[in-house]
Amino acid sequence: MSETIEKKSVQNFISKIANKDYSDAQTALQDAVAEKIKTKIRNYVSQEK
Amino acid sequence: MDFKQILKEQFKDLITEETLTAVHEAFEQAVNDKAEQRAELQVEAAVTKIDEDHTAKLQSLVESIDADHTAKLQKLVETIDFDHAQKLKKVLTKIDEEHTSKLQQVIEKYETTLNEEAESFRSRLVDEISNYMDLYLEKVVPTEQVNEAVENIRSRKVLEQIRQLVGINEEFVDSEVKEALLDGKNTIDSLKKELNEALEANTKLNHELNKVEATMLLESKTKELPEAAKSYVGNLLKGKSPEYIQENYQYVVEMFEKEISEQEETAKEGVKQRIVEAVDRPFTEELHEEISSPAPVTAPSVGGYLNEMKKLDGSRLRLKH
Repeated sequence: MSETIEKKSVQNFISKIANKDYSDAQTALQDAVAEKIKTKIRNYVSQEK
Repeated sequence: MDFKQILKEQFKDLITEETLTAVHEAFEQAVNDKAEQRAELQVEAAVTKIDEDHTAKLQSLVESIDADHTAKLQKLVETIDFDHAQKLKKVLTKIDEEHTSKLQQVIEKYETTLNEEAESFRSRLVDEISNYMDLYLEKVVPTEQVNEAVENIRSRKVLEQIRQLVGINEEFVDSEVKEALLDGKNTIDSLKKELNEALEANTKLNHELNKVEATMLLESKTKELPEAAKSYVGNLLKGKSPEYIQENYQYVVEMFEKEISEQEETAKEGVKQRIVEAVDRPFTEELHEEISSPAPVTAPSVGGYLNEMKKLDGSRLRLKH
């Protein structure tokens, strides 16, 4: 589930770049990075449990 | 009845057989010729008539045939045209349908190929960029750091919960406790202020005391010393603490003695040199004058010391500690 969200955010970032929409691409990149860090945290929390 | 027979009966005894035959032949010839002429004329007329009749008939026949044929051809052409048009339409429709279906197939095939390829390319691109971002994030924000941050946040939450349970949090402190705490804080503050003032006064008094003690100690130690030594020692140890004076007094006096002895040696060397020069020269008064004149003053304390030496009428200094 989290992996799908992560992939979608990366896909969104690529599509913004492809459409030369650079201002939205920056936000999309931030979202993608945030999703990746969230995944890291989720993985750590699930390992702890 | 035959013409020859008629002539024979009429002219039986008058003409011979030969003449009869000749007349008969001539008559026959003439009749035949005439008949032929008339027959020819009649034939010509009949032929002309027939020709005209036939011409008119033929004309009408040709016209009727022509009209009939024209109509028939017209019909035939129309029929053929219609038939060909129908056939062409059918062929066109069929070709159109065939080409349309083929084009449709080609479009479907290429669309399928394009979509599949685009899909695979997109997924590959997303995977590769995602992997690169993972690697970069691992480099910039290591997993250990993230784990540590999570642990910190978790610990902070636990600590906050413990605080709430124990009641250290200000929200759980009631007004009386708060008032008592404020009162206590004020008392502590005022006491701290008084203590600071007392400490300040104490420090000041100690400082003054130290100053007085140091002055007294310095005076008691240097009262036996000559003025130059007193001034030298006073300059160096003035304003210092009694302990410092106690520790360093002897060293300063020794330093002064060493300096004086060095200057004395220098002065002796100078006097000896002048005496040697004076022996070689005829005039001795100048030498006496030079000897009686004071030595070059390097420092005010040293000059003062040399004056003291003159007063004591000796070249050696006796120091009492």
